[in-house]
Amino acid sequence: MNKAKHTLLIVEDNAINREMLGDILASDYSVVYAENGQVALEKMRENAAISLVLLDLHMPVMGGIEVLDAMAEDDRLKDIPVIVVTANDSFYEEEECLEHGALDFISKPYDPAIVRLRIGTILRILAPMREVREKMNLMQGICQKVQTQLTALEDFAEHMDDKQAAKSIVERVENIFCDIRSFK
Amino acid sequence: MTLLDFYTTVGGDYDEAKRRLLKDERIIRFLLLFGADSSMKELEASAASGDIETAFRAAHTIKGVAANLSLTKLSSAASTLTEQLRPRNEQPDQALLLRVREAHKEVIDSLAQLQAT
Repeated sequence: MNKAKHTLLIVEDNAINREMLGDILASDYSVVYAENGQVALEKMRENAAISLVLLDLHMPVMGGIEVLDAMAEDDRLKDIPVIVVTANDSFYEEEECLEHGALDFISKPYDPAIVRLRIGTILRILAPMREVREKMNLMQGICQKVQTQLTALEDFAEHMDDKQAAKSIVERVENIFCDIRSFK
Repeated sequence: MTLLDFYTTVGGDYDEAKRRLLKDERIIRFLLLFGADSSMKELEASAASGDIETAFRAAHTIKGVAANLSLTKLSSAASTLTEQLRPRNEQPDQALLLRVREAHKEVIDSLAQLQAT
């Protein structure tokens, strides 16, 4: 896995905790920060490169559970994996986070090595899905192009006696098949 | 005062801090940040004004930051207060708040001594 490709979002209202987590991860990942849930959602919507979110629970303005719920409702965000990182003593809180869509849960105090390993595992497991999603988006673009060309072909079909029109049709069909062949 | 002395004085775990933060320089950097952190002031202010939600969040933050820095005594005191406040239906217990206040003061005073050496 090429770690340099991944951008992580750390959502944490306390500056020390933000910096401590960023310190652990900055050598392996690109890291961006948000001090509450509302800012986190804005950053996720602005930055399609965010691969994973590390999310605190208890924050002013908007807390972690609200963020999880908002992400689940947003097609742009629902597939971004979330690891909740919080000072926790209760199974109830962990259960609640997982029920609301978090993929994993890390309690403070955390072990830096464990944090890195859990992030690496999630990114590695989800990498094939990310690739498929990117291919699907590419295929969707090609299909739209094909559809546009086919629509134009229908228009030209009405002028088959016109040699210039016939030549354009051939060229357009060739373009369509070039695009399909370029899809790997 | 050495870092080990500091941790012994405040009821923390230096070995655990070293295991997780790896270097004394890093431990000191985060301890100094802790010295400037406003969570204790937020806890006191919210406890005084009756803002239970903010008091809960502040206690919870102190618990987490202290835990990450292996300030065990402070983290434990903050944890107990956090759980007392978690239902959000009563004001901070004064005895529990006092424990947090005293443990926090111990950390701040010892930090000043550490910086002086």
